[in-house]
Order: sequence, then C-alpha cells, then structure tokens
Amino acid sequence: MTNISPEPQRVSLPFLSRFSLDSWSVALATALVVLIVAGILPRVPW
Amino acid sequence: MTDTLAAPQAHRISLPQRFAELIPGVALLLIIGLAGKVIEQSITAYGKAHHMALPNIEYVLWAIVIGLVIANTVGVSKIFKPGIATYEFFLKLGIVLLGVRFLLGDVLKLGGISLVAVALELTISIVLMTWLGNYFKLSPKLTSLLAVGSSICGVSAIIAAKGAINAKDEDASFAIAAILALGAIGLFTYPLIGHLIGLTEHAYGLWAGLSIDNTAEAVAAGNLWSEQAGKIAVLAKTTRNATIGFVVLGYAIYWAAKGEASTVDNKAAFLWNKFPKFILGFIAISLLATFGAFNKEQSADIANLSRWAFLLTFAGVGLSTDFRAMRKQGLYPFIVGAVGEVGIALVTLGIVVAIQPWLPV
Repeated sequence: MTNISPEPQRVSLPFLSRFSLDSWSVALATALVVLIVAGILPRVPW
Repeated sequence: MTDTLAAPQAHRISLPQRFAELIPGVALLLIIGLAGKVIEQSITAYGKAHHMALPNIEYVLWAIVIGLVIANTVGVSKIFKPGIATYEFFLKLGIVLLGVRFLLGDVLKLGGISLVAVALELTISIVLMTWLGNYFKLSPKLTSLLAVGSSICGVSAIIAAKGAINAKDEDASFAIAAILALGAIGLFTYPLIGHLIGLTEHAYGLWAGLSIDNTAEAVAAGNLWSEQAGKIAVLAKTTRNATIGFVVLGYAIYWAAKGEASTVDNKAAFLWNKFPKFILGFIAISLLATFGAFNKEQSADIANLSRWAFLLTFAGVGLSTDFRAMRKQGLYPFIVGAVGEVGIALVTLGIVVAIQPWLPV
C-alpha cells in the first residue's frame, strides 16, 4: 500500500500568508521606487 | 455550503515551486499585452504609410479582446491559471506607482469632487439593485452581493461581502462573472458614448471610474480615451474602493440582525480589515512626489513601471472574463445585473454632465 494521506497537508507559510495582496503590491512598489531612486533599475522604454 | 470560495486542493509545494507555477500565466499576460501594443503600433504605422486616417484604438482594447477570445473559445489551460490570477496584483502595483503622477493638491481637489459623486453613486446603486433584485425575486443574498458589487468595486467587494454575510459560493461566482462581463461590454460602449455626447477627458474619466465596477476594467476604460482620463478613472475608482468597509459592514450588520450572519463585535477592526491597503501606498507615493522626492527622470521611470504593470493587468482582465460561467444561474440574475448597470451608467453620466462645468478641462 502506498503511503498517501487522504488529505494532503497544506504547507504553512504563516509569515508570508499574513500579508495580503495589497501589502505585497505596496512592498514591491516601494522596492521598485527605491531601486529607481538609487539609480539601479534600468529604464524600460514604453 | 462552505464559507470560502472553492480553493484548489493544496499540495505540498515549496515557495520556489509556487513562484515557478506563476511563470506560464505571467508570460501569457506579457505576450498578450505586448501583442496588443504591436497591433496598435502596426495600425498607426500602416495608416501613416498609406496616408489613411485610421481610428486610433489603444493597445488596452486589443489586449482585452485577445484575452476574451482565448478565454471564451479554446479556454485557458490549468497551467496558466495561477499566473493569470496575478493580474489583480499588477493592477494594485500599477495604481500605487501611478501615485507619482498625482500631486497632493490634485488628489484633494479631484478626490473631493469624486467623493460627492461617489456618495450619490453608492446610494443610487444600492437602492436600484435592491429594488430590481426584489422585483425579479432573486435570492436576498444574491441581491445583496449584486448591490455591493455594483455600488463599490466588483470582485473584491463581492468577496469581502460574501464572507461577511455568509452567501453561497455560486451566488458569489455569478455576481463576479456578471460584473466582469458587463464591465467588458462597457469597455466597447463607453468611449463611443463619451465621444458622442462630447465629454471632456476629465468628465469621461470620472464617469468610467464611477460606473464601471471592476477596478481593472474602469482603469482600462479610462485609458481607452487617454492616459489622463485613465488617471481620473483611477482616482474616482479608488475613492469608491475606499468605502468598501463601510458598505460591507452595513450589510454584515443587516444580515446579522436577521440571524443569518455572525455579528460584528469590533467595528473599527472590521473597517480596517476591509480597507484596501494599496490606497495607502498610492497616497504615500503621491506625498513623496508632492514634496519633490523624485526628479523628473525618476518620476518618468516610476510612471513607466506603472504602465508596464497595467499592460499585464489588461491582458488578465480579458482572460479572466468567462461569459459561460453565467449560464448556470439562468437569465433573471443577468437581467437584474444588466438593467441595474445600465441604470447606474445613465445616472452617473447625468451626475458627471451636471458637474462638468466645475471640472478642469
């Protein structure tokens, strides 16, 4: 018999899942702005 | 009945695997968005080369149309779904970064005008949708979801309200599908109506932001007119989004009083919990721009990133709109949604035309 549990256990990432989509977008936006201001992020032409 | 939207079966996967799962869908968003841009530029170039005056259709519409056609014909393979779902994230990222194009004075001035219009829009939408839902004898909770979805912001408001009033999964799925599909129809008709009655770009942006329910579609509708109209649509829509907690709290209290939802003990925590936090990011970047934290090039770069984020968003809107999902609920809910949305579009158009003299040209 294979050892498969009927209900796979959800991987818990309590630290990461505590943040909502909103918080992630603010965090990434902040990081991108910091990279631009620091002159690290290259300009992507539109 | 479950309390949450049906979640896919959880697997034991690591964080890098989770990111890897996003790659096919995000790549698809990028390809569709870029295809939209290529089509727009090709038409313009063809018109110039042959001295023809072709209508300038923004890449926004092409990206949405390509997504709609794929989603409603061949369908979207499972492998792309996690990545496509990131379009909401890119929308929020785009709005936060767009804050660089708003000086605080503009936000306060336009936000003030929007706030008055939003208050009117909220009241009228809720009254109209509730009356229509009762008239067509829809289930009271589906009526509540449609009222919340049409008064504030389609998808996130419906999901927030669903949990708060213990509505059924199928009611929430229907309300989301209806709001997205009706918004998609709006994308094709709004610019035509706006041009027909001679709205200014400020008035048009305000109208799109006030009456289109899904944030991504409202931003897309604004950008179809011009980038400036897109900015105004974002501001009006964000003002609407900010009211989400109050309206959902109102419905939660109503259903709790009827004994069909759990009571809300800490109202302040409830409001904070439902408040869309990305708006704070938008305000923060707008504040930094107002106080001269960025030079001209830096501002241009941040605005550029915002456009790239929106490009992915618009592709995701088309891919996530499934007209077939609505067939299961029958015709009446769709009629209620459609009649209600047309009514709201007309009333908000009236509000915008009335306040147009006070808007900047």
